[in-house]
Amino acid sequence: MNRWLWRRLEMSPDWIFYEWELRMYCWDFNAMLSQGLLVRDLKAEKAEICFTRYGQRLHLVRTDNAVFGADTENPDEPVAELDPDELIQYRFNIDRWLSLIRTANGLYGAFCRLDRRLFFLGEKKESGETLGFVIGFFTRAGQALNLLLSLPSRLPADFDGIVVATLLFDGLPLQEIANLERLGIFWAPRLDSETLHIRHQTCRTGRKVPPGSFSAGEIEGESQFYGFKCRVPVCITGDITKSGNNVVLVGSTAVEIGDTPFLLFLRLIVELRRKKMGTVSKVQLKSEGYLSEDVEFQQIRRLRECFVRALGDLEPKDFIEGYRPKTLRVSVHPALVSWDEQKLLAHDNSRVREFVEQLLQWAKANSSLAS
Amino acid sequence: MPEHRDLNLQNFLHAAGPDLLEQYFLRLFRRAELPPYLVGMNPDYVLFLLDQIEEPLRAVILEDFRRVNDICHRDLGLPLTVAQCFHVPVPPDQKPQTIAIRLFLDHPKAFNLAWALYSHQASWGNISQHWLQQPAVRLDNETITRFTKELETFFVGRNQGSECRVSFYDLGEQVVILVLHGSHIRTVTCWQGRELAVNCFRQACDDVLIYDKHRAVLSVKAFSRIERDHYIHCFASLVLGNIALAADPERDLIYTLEPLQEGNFTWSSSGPISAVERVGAKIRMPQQGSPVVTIEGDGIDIAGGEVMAVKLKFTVSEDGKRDTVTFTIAPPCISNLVKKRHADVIASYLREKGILLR
Repeated sequence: MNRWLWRRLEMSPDWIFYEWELRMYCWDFNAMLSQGLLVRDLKAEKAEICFTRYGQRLHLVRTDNAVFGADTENPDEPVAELDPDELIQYRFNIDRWLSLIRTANGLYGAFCRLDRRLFFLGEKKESGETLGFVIGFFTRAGQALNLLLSLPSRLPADFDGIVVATLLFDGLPLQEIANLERLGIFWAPRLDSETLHIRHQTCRTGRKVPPGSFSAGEIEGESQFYGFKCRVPVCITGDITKSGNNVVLVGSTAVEIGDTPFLLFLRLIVELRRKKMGTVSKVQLKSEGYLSEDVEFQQIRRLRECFVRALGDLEPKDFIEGYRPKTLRVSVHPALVSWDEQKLLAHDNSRVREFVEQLLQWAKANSSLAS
Repeated sequence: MPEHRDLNLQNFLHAAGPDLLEQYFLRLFRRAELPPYLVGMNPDYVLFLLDQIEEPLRAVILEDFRRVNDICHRDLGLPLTVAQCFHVPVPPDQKPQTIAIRLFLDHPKAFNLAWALYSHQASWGNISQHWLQQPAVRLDNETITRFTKELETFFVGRNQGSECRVSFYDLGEQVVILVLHGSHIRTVTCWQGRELAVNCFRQACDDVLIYDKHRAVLSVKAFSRIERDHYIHCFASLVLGNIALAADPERDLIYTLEPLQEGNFTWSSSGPISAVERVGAKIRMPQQGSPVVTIEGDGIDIAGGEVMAVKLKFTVSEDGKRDTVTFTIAPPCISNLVKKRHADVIASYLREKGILLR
């Protein structure tokens, strides 16, 4: 199969193809048809819109025995009868294709759709470990990361590792690949287009969960229970930019936060460590001086705006979240929040140092409880 | 239909020259019918003469001047190119208007070719290109007659009138075909004094086909999709002698925007191309109903959908001069690049980048 087809499938596994474009771009169109990989979509053919090879988007009008197309963007183009062949459309038979991938890789067990863009292919034993295989249809790193971090909760916990293959997408930063490996998710991009073989490295490290910390399954389970919307790790680096802003890493994206919103952010993080729900009432934040009576909405908006670039599909208001009325929290599991204590303890602002000390206390208390 | 027509009569008359203007008017009037003049017709005399002439003849004369002026459009160099094709002697440093009016008066076939090329380059809308694989063409009288007959039958069958004039020009590397035909009758309601009147008219269309023998690519400027398809089929079956070429699935595969959808594509400068900017794009989204989103400006992620069309701005630096050219590509076969300045330079750059395939 060719890159043209795969690129469209990455955009959406349910992409509808016109026969004229398949004949033009897919040299193996007839072979795919005979293998049952393309299924004629009669429902799509009844749509009111049709795209032509001349770049037109026609509105269709049907009579008893003919279909007429009107180009509404170009009123000079006369309404004309369409050749029925121009309307023939196909969808890709994903189930059939997944069966071929399963056979090519010797996978067993049931396969199913986990999400619009994620498919569980099956499992296989390798070097005494049971690996689950998943194929993802991604176009962007943020989109891939959000879905992959939710994988452990979607699959049974007894896999020693989950191998994720993609079609063409290979744009995940190395840091994120390493983060995923720590959660037992192994990135194996770019399926072989000829053999359909998933080229993955055997789990060198296996699933490593540091003692006293949360497993990926636990993080996902608790995130769902507490309604946390973000699955991306947050790291408070303690670095300060030339302009005096504080650097926070959200995934691999560096976010700069001014001192005042940074204090509010740290206050919310401390609350997240103190109790898992992580909510603080606005009244309390006002009494502690993090919010002002007159400009509280501007202050919250200013903090949210810092994260706009880093959150991908997630809205900033879902990250700095008003979970209950008149409350605020950071909508991420506490285990996904880390910080560089040495740099933060050397911070110029004494209130930042106080927060870090509080965070350390809570971290110690939690680890002693866990042990 | 030309995109824009403009005529500055004073400038045109100065450029055309008194001798050629005299030659033109002596075709319409006997010398004794004209007011007395000395040698040639200077612009002031022609303006005076036009004031004396009554409608509708005055409108006919102005339309002739406008057509002659049109082919000098945008310094395309059409009059000189066509004069050279037809071996018309052109004295050095002659103005385009002078060459154009000479072609109009003495070489009508050459003038019609210049008009066809002008119509191709200055028309509304985009031009489609089609790869027909075969460089050899058959342009004998029988082919031309059959081609004309076929188009006449087609337009009559579609109630577009029986008027259909086809002109063929073989320029060596290129074959140019000009098709003048009618369209469906339209009605317009208008005021005549204090009364309402309904005027019916049949719009005339000038379609142009240019076949590049070297690349085996047919450029079609046509009024509608159906006509475009019919021209390609007629050309393949009658001029190339192989109808199967028109049915080849790769016929329309001229442009692709796939490289742009790869994450690592960059518009690097190369040779005379000093900068390239994406100024807009039309994207078909994968959601149900295939909504189309139009975006303007560069830097917006286009990975989420299929790029249906892209608008590009090229900066071309040649001989120390910078020129910007903006055009649209709508794969697989539509673009207005062929109508633009520096089209050859830009085409070779696009070929290098894997966007232009033929």
